[in-house]
Amino acid sequence: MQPETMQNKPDAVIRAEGLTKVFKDFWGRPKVHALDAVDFEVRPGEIFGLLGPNGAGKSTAIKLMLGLLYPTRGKLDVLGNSPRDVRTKERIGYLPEESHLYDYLTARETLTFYARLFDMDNETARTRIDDLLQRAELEETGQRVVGEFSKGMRRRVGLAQALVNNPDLLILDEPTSGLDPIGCRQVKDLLTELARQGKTILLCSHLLADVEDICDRIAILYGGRIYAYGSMQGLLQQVHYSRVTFPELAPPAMSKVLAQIREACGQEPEVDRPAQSLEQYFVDIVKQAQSATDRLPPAVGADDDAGTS
Amino acid sequence: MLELRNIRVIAGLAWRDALRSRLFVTLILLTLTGSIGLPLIVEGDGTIPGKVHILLYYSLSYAVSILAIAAIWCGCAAIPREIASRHIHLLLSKPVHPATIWCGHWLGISSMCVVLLGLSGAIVYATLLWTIRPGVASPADLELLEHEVLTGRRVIGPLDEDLERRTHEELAARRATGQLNDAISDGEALRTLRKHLQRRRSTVGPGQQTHWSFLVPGHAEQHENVSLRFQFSISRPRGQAVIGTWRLGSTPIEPAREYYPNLPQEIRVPAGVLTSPAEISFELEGNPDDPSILFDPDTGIELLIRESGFVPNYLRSLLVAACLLVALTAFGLAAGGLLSLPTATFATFAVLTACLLAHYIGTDYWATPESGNNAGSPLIRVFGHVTDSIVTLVNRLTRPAIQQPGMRPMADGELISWEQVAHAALNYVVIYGGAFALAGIWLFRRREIGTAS
Repeated sequence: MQPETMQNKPDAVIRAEGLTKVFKDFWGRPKVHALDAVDFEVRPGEIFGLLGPNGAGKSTAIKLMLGLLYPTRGKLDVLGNSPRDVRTKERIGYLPEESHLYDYLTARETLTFYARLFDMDNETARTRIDDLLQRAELEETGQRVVGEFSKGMRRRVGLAQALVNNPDLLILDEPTSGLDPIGCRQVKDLLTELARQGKTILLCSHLLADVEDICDRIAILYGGRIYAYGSMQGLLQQVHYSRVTFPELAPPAMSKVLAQIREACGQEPEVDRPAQSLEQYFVDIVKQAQSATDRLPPAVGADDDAGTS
Repeated sequence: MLELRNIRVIAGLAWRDALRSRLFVTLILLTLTGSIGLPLIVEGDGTIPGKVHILLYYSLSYAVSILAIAAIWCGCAAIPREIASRHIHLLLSKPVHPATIWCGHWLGISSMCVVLLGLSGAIVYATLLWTIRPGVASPADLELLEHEVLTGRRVIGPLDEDLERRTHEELAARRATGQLNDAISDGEALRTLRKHLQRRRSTVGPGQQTHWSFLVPGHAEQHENVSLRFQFSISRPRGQAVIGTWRLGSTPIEPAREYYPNLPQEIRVPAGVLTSPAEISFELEGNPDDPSILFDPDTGIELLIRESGFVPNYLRSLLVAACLLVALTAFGLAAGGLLSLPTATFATFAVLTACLLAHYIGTDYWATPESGNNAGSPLIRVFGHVTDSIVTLVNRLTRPAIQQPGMRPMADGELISWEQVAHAALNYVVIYGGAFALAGIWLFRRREIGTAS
């Protein structure tokens, strides 16, 4: 499958053309080519994955999209404007790789602080924050300072702050980092739901299974260049092979089916049993355990401080 | 570009950050300790007015100094800390202009310093009331305090209308007679000759009388609380008094009496006899062989007229200090927007030291034409001219800041007028603060935050 070429659709949410970023040393001499004439676009309503090993240029690309870095060459439009345009940022939500929250603010205060920066009136902000705290399952801990939170809880607050303005474009750097499998699943479900609502999501992740689960299209960066770019299905599909899944057959029936396939394609077919993902298996087990625990009377002196560091 | 709401939000965050920081607690402790403790450890002259002077001057100067250092340090730290903790990445991903972040920090740190200054001021004032409570301060002490210290008196220097004309005439005469080295510039020569003529005019020989004229504002005869403050030096062993008579017009203000050199002294001018211009003279008794006495040309003789009560004067002096803190915060922030915390702090204090040094060099060393820069090889002369130019430029740039009244005039009972407050606000907040803000925002805006750590 050949990589997709960039289509100049006018409605691209993010469009990079020849985007180049060269970091220079103190004397202005080129030191690192973090991005080298990169072209890509992110379309409205899609979940786009930016992948690559460490040092590939993913974070540089995100910082350029947020106006935290300035391109050396090339063009980058975000929501039709320059990334440095303050108005553009009214429609962006950003979750950095580390949550970078103020440790001395509570979860509610953190969200209130960021909500105020979007010029929200108090009533709208309160409603929105209540909703986000509920979604992030932080209603009970909303009054505790973020400095006391576990990494996973900080991540949830971070994600909530990224959503505080109900953004059209979400830029997420390792959104599931630090989350337990249940949290990971919740985040992925949330992102899928947001994409269904028409939000555009760009995410960077090292967890390829996560990317595979939810991304519509991806770009794989290496050494500042894009080596693969296109739809997930298009890039991963093995076009010369077919897979047929059916209920378990009795051995004679199975032999019959295999003989026919062997005859049709002239090769020995591979037979295996489909396995569910470990994540799905884990989630199912935890759900069963939760429902079993819910049926029991509450334990005396049960630790209600779960999730704290 | 600047959204007031967001500036307030970021300033509020700076406050929250400060309230939970050890620095803030340390600052409060330092200012409180200084305000209360300094009068206990600084030895005065044993009198209540002396103690009050120490309280007002040393305690408040100490508090302002500590807060000035804090303002610079907090200013230098604010943006580098945001960058180091990567909080700035989240902030700049919101619809917030870098100028808003900068101004938010400026407002937050400045307001914090100003509140601490107000707290120090309140503590010093409470300590003052405790120091002069009935039973401790005698009625005579209180009367003296009210007249000389706990008041706001306008300081009027003597008129010297034809000084410039006389200085130019003297320069022309010296040039014509070859008494002046041609290498000395007119500017330098005029500066020195001006001082020389002022000194000559402020010198009183034995058996001689010297006149000074003072322009009194408003209705001169209606001023009731008027004093003459003077200090002179004499080339005699310390402690030996001279005898002389002060006169207002032809009327003696006091009968002939002893006055001591190198000691600020005050005599009260009788109410209702003041005229404008007030002609004041001093006649020195003694033999023609006795040495002359010399009043300092700038502060050797001053007429003091009460124009304000102490509390408004005290508040105005605090306002001037508050304006200084606002400017210093902006200075620190401008450096912190470009440099890392240690570099910004070092650079800021280095620049301030250099400015003070330039002021010292410009006013004292450069005041004498014999100071050099005109002799030696051409290279040395070029170097001298370049140094001259730099010192002159720095002096011109910093003079408005350095010339603002500190705490001493207020502690001496001198008037801090609203004009001075407005002047301080204009210079410190609008001109210096505005210049630092423009430079700081420009640098901060150009900086690629994503690369910095």
